[in-house]
Amino acid sequence: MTAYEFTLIVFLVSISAGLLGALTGLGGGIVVTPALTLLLGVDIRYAIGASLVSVIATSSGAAAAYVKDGLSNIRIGMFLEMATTAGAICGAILASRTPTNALAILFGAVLLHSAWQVIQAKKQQNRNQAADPLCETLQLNGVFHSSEGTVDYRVSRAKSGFGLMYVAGVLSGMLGIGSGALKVIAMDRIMGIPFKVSTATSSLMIGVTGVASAAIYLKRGYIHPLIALPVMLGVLGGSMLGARLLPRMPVMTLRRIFAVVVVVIAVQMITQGLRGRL
Amino acid sequence: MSAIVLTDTKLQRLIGATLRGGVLVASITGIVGGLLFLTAPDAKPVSFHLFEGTHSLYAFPGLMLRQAFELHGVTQLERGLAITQLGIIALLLTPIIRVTFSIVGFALERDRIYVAITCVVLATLMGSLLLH
Repeated sequence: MTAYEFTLIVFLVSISAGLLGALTGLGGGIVVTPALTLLLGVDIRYAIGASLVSVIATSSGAAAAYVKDGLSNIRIGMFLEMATTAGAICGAILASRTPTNALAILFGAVLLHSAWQVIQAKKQQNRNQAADPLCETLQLNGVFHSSEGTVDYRVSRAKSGFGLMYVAGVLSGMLGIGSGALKVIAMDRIMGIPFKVSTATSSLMIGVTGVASAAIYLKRGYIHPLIALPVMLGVLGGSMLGARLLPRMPVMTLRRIFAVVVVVIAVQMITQGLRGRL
Repeated sequence: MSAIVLTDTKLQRLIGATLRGGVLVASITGIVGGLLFLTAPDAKPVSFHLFEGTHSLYAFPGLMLRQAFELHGVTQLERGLAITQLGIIALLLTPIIRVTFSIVGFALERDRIYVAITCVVLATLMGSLLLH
């Protein structure tokens, strides 16, 4: 394949990945790695490196809009970033000591979990929370403005959330993903932060988490500019397009269809990993 | 309390602008570099089936800058690759700049706890640069 053809194909694949990522809410990074490895036969380490770059780009792009709307809580984000960045460094170091087929299997497992996450109907949370003195000290409680007016929210169980964020960081560093799904679980389900604020804060955090492992990836040679650049531009374009289309789409139907697609990809990753082909 | 809300809003605007600007600069730089690389007369066929590790310029920032900007003695292929890598570096710097601005913001609010927390995050990021 000439460099020109390769770049074009990677770009087109990444646009689709970004679109799929935006419409499912999974983020583009998680779909682009299997696409590169399964469709184009790219070594998983290059795919992970490129995916990480695209994750940082989309997160920064999305976060810019959320931050402007005052939806992300910069204090919660910064506090939890202490955990995610430490985790991401450990993850990036672990990644280079893990055989590539084991990485593929782990990736498949994370994809399966995300697919399950996507089809889950969002349950109304019980917001009767015990006061958490740590959250008071850290001033994590906040307000956000929604269509129904200003909403005050209280945050609890900061320590458990912090612990889960470390795990999210490790996965992000090992697999070059944003692990947004896990970050949202930590904030929404455990710390009791409203879903909208959780998603917005998560995308603000993903960029910083990603950069913590990117330096190690760079030194190890995982980030090849010829793959990383078209992936970054493609995923960025695809997710911007996806965000525009989202309000006009039958989201739940789409999510169910995409969940099936993601399960198929996950099974492929796992079987290829087990056969030692990746 | 209202003073804090006000500065938080300003800080949020600054952070938003930093993030958007960083992505824009990275994309434009990357596109310029990528086009130079792809239209170079000596562009070779590529395959990434085998992992060789990128023989990258990241470890040699001086060489990367020279290849990107020096007028003579650099082939179009080298220049394209160097500029593409600069684009990627610009993207990676964006969140670091965001964290740095946050330190200033929290310091202006005299919020010592958050100045400390943000410094820990920045130190972790800087520490990752030293790891192998």
